[in-house]
Amino acid sequence: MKSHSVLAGLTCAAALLLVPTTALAQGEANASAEAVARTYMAHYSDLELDAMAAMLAEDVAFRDPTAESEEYGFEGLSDDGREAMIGLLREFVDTYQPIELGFEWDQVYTSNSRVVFIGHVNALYPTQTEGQHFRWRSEQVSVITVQDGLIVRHEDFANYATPEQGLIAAPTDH
Amino acid sequence: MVRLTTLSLALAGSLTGFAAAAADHHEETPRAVAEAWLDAYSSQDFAVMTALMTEDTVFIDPTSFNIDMVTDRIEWRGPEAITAGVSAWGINHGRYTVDRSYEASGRVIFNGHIDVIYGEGENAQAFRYPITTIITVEDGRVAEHRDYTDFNGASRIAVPH
Repeated sequence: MKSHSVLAGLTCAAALLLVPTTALAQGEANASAEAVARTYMAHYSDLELDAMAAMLAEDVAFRDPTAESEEYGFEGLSDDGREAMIGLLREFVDTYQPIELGFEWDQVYTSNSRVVFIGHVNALYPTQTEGQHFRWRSEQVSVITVQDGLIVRHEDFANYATPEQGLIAAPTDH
Repeated sequence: MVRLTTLSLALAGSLTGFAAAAADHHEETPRAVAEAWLDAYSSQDFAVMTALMTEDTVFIDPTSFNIDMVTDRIEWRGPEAITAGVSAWGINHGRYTVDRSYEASGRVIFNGHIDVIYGEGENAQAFRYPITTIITVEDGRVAEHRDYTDFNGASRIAVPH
């Protein structure tokens, strides 16, 4: 130990043993938050914007720091409020006509009503050729904060730098 | 699976002082800075951490809020507050194992788990936390360390040797 006594370390470790107790106390809230967030992210995946809007707090914060651009600057995408967020997504849908975002989550965990989704976005877009789609796939982490049953913060962190993208045969279920 | 190596040694160990280390970080890629930072954080090397910060560096873990029985709120600004906050945990050392990592727009995202070791020898105890960390690098320095820790998924593990 560099600058602390073993006792200090063990005191801290003893405190960490309380994790299961706290987990029980928080378990119900976290389970509820995760259920809300999973439903919300399913709507996001399918770009069901009205359903998403119904789950957002009026003053929801929408952030994507990885979406740096000339328009957004180094801080990335940052929109406050349900109307602004849904408006932005609606503009995206109207402009690019995506079929779905097609999220695939490898890991989901919840702590303190923050639901962390880890996996990929697997967005599909139509092309002018029948039976063919354009796919944009990248790693993504999304963090959804739930309060009183509503989404109060939505954060995305995507790998815009090196996505896999190209034309693919359209899946038979689309 | 990728395990972070001691990249901080490449940055700091071969240099004569931390000022030199800090000056050189402006030439590093965001990933190199982020990995050096995470390595210094894992080894609790506060001197290297300080050299990689600015006065406005933020260290935050929103998943730590409102769980007072486990940890105080983790939200600090500046090297003094950050090193004081991290050192107060009394960690001997940590081992961050990265399952996946990517970067975009100066943000380097790590996902995996961190094994945290308290104490030494027979008194040592270890805990494993699933974790996602986002390191924002601006002008060669760490602007923000953002953790999302699965405190509910923490488990006690055998002390690694």
